Parts: sequence; C-alpha cells; structure tokens
Amino acid sequence: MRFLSAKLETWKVRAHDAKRTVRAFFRNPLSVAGLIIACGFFILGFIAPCITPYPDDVTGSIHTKQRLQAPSREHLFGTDDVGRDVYSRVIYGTRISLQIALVIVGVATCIGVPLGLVAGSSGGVIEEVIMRFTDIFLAVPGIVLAVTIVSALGPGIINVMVALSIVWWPGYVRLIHGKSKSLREEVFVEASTAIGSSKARIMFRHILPNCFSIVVVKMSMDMGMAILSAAGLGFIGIGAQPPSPEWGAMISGGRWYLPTWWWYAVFPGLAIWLTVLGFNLLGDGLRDVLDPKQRGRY
Amino acid sequence: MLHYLAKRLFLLIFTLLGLSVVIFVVSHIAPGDPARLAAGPFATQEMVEHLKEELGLNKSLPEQYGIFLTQLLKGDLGRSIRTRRPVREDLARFFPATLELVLVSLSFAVLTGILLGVLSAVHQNRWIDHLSRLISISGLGLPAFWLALMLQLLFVLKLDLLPGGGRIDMIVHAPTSITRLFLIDSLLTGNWVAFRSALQHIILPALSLSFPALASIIRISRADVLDTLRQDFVTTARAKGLVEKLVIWKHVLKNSLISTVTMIGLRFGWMLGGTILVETVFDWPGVGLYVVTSATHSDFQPIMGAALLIGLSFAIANLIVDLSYSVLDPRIGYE
Repeated sequence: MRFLSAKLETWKVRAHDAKRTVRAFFRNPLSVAGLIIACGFFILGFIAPCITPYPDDVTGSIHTKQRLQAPSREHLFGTDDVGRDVYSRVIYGTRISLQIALVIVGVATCIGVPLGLVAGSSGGVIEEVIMRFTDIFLAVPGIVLAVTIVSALGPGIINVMVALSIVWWPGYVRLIHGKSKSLREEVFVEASTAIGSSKARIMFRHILPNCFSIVVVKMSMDMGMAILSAAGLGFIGIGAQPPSPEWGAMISGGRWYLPTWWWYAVFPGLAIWLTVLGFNLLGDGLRDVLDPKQRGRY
Repeated sequence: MLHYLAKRLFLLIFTLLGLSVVIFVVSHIAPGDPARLAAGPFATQEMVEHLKEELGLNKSLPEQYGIFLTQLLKGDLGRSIRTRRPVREDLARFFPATLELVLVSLSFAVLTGILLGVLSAVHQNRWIDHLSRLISISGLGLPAFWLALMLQLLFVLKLDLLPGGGRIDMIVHAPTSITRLFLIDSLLTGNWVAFRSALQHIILPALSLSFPALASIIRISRADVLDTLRQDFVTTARAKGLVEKLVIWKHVLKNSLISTVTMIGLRFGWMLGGTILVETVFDWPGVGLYVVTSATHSDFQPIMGAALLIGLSFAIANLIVDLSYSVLDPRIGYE
C-alpha cells in the first residue's frame, strides 16, 4: 500500500513538472511559432498527395505550352521549364524533405545514443576506443564526407540518406558521452552503485532517462540541418535526381532561369528556409524549458 | 604546454590516419570496377587488367591500403581522370582561392558577429538587440546556396553592381604570386586594379558563406556578454569609475570570448564544407568547385584528396583555437 502511494506521489510530481514545462514552452511566442511551423510542415507532408493541385506534375509529366508561367490563380508559384506546377512540387517536396530528415536523424540517434551512453558510462579503454573512432568522423566537415560517400555510391535519395546518416551520428555520441560522464558523478548514480545495481541497470534506468531532454532538443534542431544538408547535395546534382520534386534539386534547375523566371528558384528556397527556421525555433524553445540553465541565454 | 602540444599533434596524426582509412574504405564501396572507371569507356579488357596491375587493385584490401598510405605520405594523391593532372597539383592550384574566400568570410562574420553580439547584450531589448536577434534567428536556417543565388539575383542581375562569378576580371592580370591570395598579393605589390577587381569578386561569395556563421557568432557572443555583465568584477570596474566603453570593450569582451573562439574554430570547418555549395554558384575556382565538378564526372581521386586536405586544415584550425584559450584566459593551463 505504502509502495503504491509513493508511486502515485511520484507520478503526481511528474505530471505537475510536465504541466509547468508545457506552460513555460507556450509562454515563449518564438517557440510556439516554431512548433506551428514544424507541425504545419509535418501535416503538409502527410496530406501532400490529397492537396496537390496537379499530382501528375510531381513526376515526369511535361506541358510545353505552359512552361515558365508567372504565379497566377491556376499556378500559385508559377510553372517550371517543362510546364510543371511549382506549387504542387514544393508541397510534395515537403514530404520528401521530411522523410529524408526523419531517416537521417532517426538512424543517427539509434547509432549515436547507445555508443555515447556506453562510452560515458563505462570509461577506460571502451571510452577511449569509441571516442577516438568518433573523432575520426568529426575530423572533416560533414558535407565533405557526405559528398565523398555519395560520389562513391552514386547519386540518389537513398544514397544521400545513407551518407548523411554516416556523418550525423558522431554528434550524438559526443553529446551523450559528455552528459552521461557528468551524470556518472551524480549522487543518485553513486547511491545506485552502492546498493549493488548492475552497470546495465545504472546505464538504462538512471543515466539514459536523464539524457532524454538533450536528445530531444538535438533531434529537433538536427531535423532542420538534415533538410538543409540534403537540399545542398540535391543542389550540386548528387542528391535527388530529376524529376523528383526535392527542394535543392528544384533550386538547382531554377537557377538558370534567374532573374526573369525568378519563381522557379525562389519558392523552393523559401520552403527550405521556413522549415529549417521552424525546427530551429522549436529546438530553441525545447532547450529553454528542458535545460533551464540555458534559459534566456539566446 | 609543449607536452600538451605533442599530445595534440599525436592525436591529430592518429585522427588523420583514421580519416585516411575511412576514405579508403569509402572508395572501395563504390559499385563497379575502379580500374574500368579510371581507364575510361573505350578501354579494352587488356588495358583495364594492365591498369589494375599498375594501381595494385588486384592485391588484398590491407595491401592496397598500405600502398595508398605510402603514396599519401609521399604526397601522391593520385591523378584526376578529368583534368589529367596529379591531384596534388590541382589542390595546390585551387586551395588558395578557397582559403582566401574562407578567411574573408570568417573575418567578416567574426568582426560583425562580435560587434552585433556585444551591442545586442549591452542594449538588451532595444532595437539593436531585436535586429541582431532577427539576423541570428533567420540566418541559422538560411541555405547558403540559395542566399548566394538571391544575392546574385539582386546585385548582379538586377542592380548590376557586382560581378557574378570568378575570382578576378578576365581583362585584369592576376597579381604577382606571393601568397597566392589575390587580395593580399595585390596589396603587397600595389596592384590596385587587381585589388579592386578581386575585392568586387569576393564580396558576394563571402557574404553568402558568412551569413550562417554570423548568425551563430551573434547568438553565442550575446549570451556570453550577458553572462559576463552579471559578474562582480564588472560591478567593481564600474564602481571605481571606469568609462563604460572601457568596461565593455576591454574587460567584458575579453572575458566573454572563450565560447566565441570555440565557435570560430567550428565555423571555419563548416565554411570549408560550405565552399562546396557557394563556389558552385559563383564559379569560384576553389577546392569546393573542384570537388563538385569531380563528383559529377565520377572522378573519385580528387574528392579523396580534397577531403583529406580539408580534414587537415580543420584539424590545424582547431589546434590553433585550443592554443588561443590560454591567451584569452591565463587561468587555463595545458596539462
């Protein structure tokens, strides 16, 4: 009975904390803007096939009579060099960009978090081996290594996802390694060690849950950065290939039609900017409420 | 200090060796036969076999890595299929252009970023603070290549104020080569025509490359200055009657620079990577454009060489950043 009431009390405290966190998050207008933009893009990505006015234009259809038309009621963002509706392609591009970002961030988290946790919690040789291995991948800017990998594998969305996942995980190892190393010195971990808890229990029951908030913050910020990187690879021609409506590849196609047919390159760029901005604001807001030491710093 | 330096240099060599392994492995996951690719589409089977023998591609993987490493240590980075020149020669030709672009971008981002960050913190919640925060928030999400295109659209195609590509005007002679950085060389030789042309050509690429770095430097320096302003020594400095400008620019700034300097090191690496995108837009004849052109021609040796060179430059920049900590804060020792 006493055990149950203690459990109930813990849950009450947790619920109270969660409420306070949510309230603090919604007090910051920039965080709310970030949440709205990020959710908006998720919804848009999800319902893209239903709201795209010209579904055929997201694939390889050609309408030579309608090429390079300025924005109008029929074509909100104008048409491209083969007459496809830019609005339909930008909307559908949301889906592709979000898919790419989710895969990259998901894979990086699944690889980076366990490695960082093991390195930070165990110390010694294991820590040295994991961290030095991680340093190798951090020795060169991510985009350079990604270009190297995609060049070896060949262009395409799948290869971009593979390449960016390979260069993305070390950031998570560094982050979790630092956090779990500092948590290892905390009293509650010492207490758990003193009562004879196993290393695995300390790692997964005490250290991992305390790393949760920083992982969530990093994931939300990385969503934007992953979209940006994938668009960059698309722009230089080794990412998504035509006729895929990927934003970077669309800008690459539209750059040759500036300044007269500006809409072709401008709207996909605005979509990237807004999405990345949304995820950055969301990440900032989450950091403010989940890591109170950082609150109000930025 | 010397012990620390030796340790860092050892780690640097170890990391670069590791990077060479990663790049070697990546080069061997490429689908298709590298000898066939190097020999070209019209090569006979006999020629491909001969090339395989010559390049050591019929040996085991560890043996091949041994050959690759030996050549690397001799400075041999292979030959580009596209330019038909040794990669080392190509990189020596293109790297100064990239370095010049990165240094100009970084200098602009650091000077403007710190200035706006400090002003933003000192005048918190005033218009300059709002402006700086707007730049920093919007700048972080701005794709550098798209910004480059928009700047090109406005300043080159619409207003016709600046040149749209290249490093110097076709009709202007490049300055006598001393450092191979056009701006410095033209200054040293007093070649003002070349200086003016090189400056005009670098403005837009540097601005595009520096904007994301500018955004993060504003954020970090604002946050650090705000923290430092709350310290006791600042109150003491003010209490003893120091002029506010002196308090801010001498005492507060110096004590707020540690995180900013770390950020500068990281951003240097990011900019080296970012040149891949920006150089493509502005046709800037640097390593970034060389990598992209090689990637689109399936020419892998130059990409490997460039990745190693960029890794080395990044590692050196980070070492310089780490060593500068003790200059900024003498309490930091190197044990």
